[in-house]
Order: sequence, then structure tokens, then C-alpha cells
Amino acid sequence: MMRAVHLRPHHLNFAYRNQCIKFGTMENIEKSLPGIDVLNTGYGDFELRFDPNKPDEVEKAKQTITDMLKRGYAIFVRQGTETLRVRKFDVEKNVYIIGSTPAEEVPITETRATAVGRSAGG
Amino acid sequence: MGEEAQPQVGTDFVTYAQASRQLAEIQLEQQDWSGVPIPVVGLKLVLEPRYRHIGLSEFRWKECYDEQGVRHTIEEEPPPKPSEFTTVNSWWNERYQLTIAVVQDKQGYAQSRVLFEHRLAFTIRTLEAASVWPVEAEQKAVQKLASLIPADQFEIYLLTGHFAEISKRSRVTYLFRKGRPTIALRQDEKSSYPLCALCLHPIGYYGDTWAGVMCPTDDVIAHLLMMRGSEEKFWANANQHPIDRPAAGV
Repeated sequence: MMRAVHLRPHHLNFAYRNQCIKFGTMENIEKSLPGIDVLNTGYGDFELRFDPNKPDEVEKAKQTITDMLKRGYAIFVRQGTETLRVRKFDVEKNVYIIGSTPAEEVPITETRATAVGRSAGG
Repeated sequence: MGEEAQPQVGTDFVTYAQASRQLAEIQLEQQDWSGVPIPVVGLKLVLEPRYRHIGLSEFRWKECYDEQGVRHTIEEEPPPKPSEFTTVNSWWNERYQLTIAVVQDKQGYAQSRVLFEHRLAFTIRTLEAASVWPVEAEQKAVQKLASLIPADQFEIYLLTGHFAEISKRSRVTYLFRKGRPTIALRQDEKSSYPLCALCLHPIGYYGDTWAGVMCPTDDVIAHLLMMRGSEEKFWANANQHPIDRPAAGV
């Protein structure tokens, strides 16, 4: 049906490049690394990973988390069997804050979070 | 002079799904993490009001190309004429399965109107919107879902497109469905009754369809995470459709 319709890329008003993204450690994703999975229109589930032993990658991850929360993304982390929504991010301590006590803090290096963009009721 | 190279499908011309993938790649470099919704000819793109590319909801395609590279102009639908009536009230009639509206003309005289919503039209429009979902995106989303729910539930999802989970907090049962709103049920030992259908899409959706701008299993993941991590926000952000309305998708 509509899959047969083809569009010219430049009509989308974005620059077109027929190349793949290189983001941080994307080329060799280590499944064991912490990070954030982002729900994405073109990817389904886009994985951002960082190596906790590499300060530049940790710094980039911190910037990304801060930016996402600023833009209204809902970030979810698992703690035990619970899924919890991140309320804030402590840049100094590198922890997700999910409650009001120190026990309700999750280090970014010990979890894989999932981020969802702002949602609209359908 | 040599002949002009023929434009190629997949590079010079792309499908909606290919455009979605390519735009997502480009936008990731600019730290735009969610990708970009793709407008579809004939469907209304409804975006979350604070979304950074909100202007896309006004975007209209002007031309498209068939598989031989032949250009086709897309006629823009004329804007609807302003109505001389204003809606005073409307309600859903369960018995006749339609919406009854009371309208008023400029002189203040009231009239009634009957509005039909067709389930089949919802289904067909949803199929049209499905052309924007890259298959690989859905496959990745399915993998992600597998990591979030028990194996037996995931098997049921693969087989039927549905799975259920009871909220630890409210004890409400949620029936998550691929490509349809989530049904909230109250269950006890003797009976169960539906509360409503919860419709919510990250970033946006196509009007009068069940399709979000993200692939269907991404919508399911968003519903599941919001239910688990922020149930009250899930209810607050979702549209709550009565279960017998076509929009509920039952």
C-alpha cells in the first residue's frame, strides 16, 4: 500500500547523509555496560552505553541524562524487582534520585535506564 | 555527454520507513534522542505540544514518486469551511454506538447531530500509518520488551500481541496490546470488569488511528514502564476511552 510511495529525502528539510551514526561506544556495544535505552522512532530502542572506567564517557553520559531530564523525558530505572521513575539527577554524586532518602538513589554506573520522550494522549 | 543517472529507490527515493530511520540517525548526532515523527499523506499528525519539532504537525507532502521514479503531485485538501454551528454538548450513546451532539446556530436555535465512528476506518487508517514504522525498529523494540517481562508473558505477546500485568500498587490489571490502547480492568475472584482503554503515545500519534509515531511495541514499552514506575502519570497523560468506543480498539 503506502510502502510503495517514495519520497525525496531533501523534502524532509533535513540534511541527508547516507551514513551510519557513530555515537560514543556505539560501534562495539558491550551489553554489560551501564547506560540508557531510548525509545526512538527510527530505531525502536536506541542504546547509549558508557564505560564507567572512562571519565570522558561518564561525563558525556551525565550531560545526556541532564539534557534528557531538562527536555521532559521520563527516565525509568530498575531497583530490585521494582521499576521506578527518576525524579532528579545528582550531577555531583552521579546518581539517579528516585525518592527523598539516600536509599532511594541509584548510581548511573550500576543500572541500565530507559528513557521515553514526552507523551501525548491518543 | 553521458546519460543522466536514473534516481535509485532506497537512495534518491526513500519510503516513509527509510526516511524515519535516516532522520533518526541524523538527529542522534544533534542529541535528538527520540528520532523524528514522519508525516503521512492523508493522516493528521498530532504531537505533544512541547515537542521541539511541533511544526511537523503542519507539514504537508507536495509530491511523491512511484517505484519507477515517476513524480506524482499530492493535492492538498482544502481547509474545511468554518461551520455556522457551535457544539453545545455531545455524549456517547452506548445502545446505538454513536455520538449524539447538540449544536447551536448563530440565532441560538439548537439542533441535534449524530456522529458515527467506524472501527473499520480506524483499522484502515492505522494500516496506512504503519508504513512509517521501520521493521528493524519493531524488532529491536520486541527484544527490549523481552528483557522487561517474564518469559511466559513474552511468549503470549509474541503469539497474540497481548499480555497482562497486575499493578502492585493499585491491583488494577492492565492488558497491554500491540497497536491498540491498553485496557485497565478491575478483577476479583468472581468477576472482572473493564475500567477504560488508556491511549498514550511517546511524542505523538496519527489522529483517528491507533498508531503512534513510534513502532507499536515501543508504545507498549512506554505504557508498561509508566504503569510500573508512575501509574498516576500514566492515567493522567493517557486519554481514557470508554471501552465500547471505537477508539478503545476492542
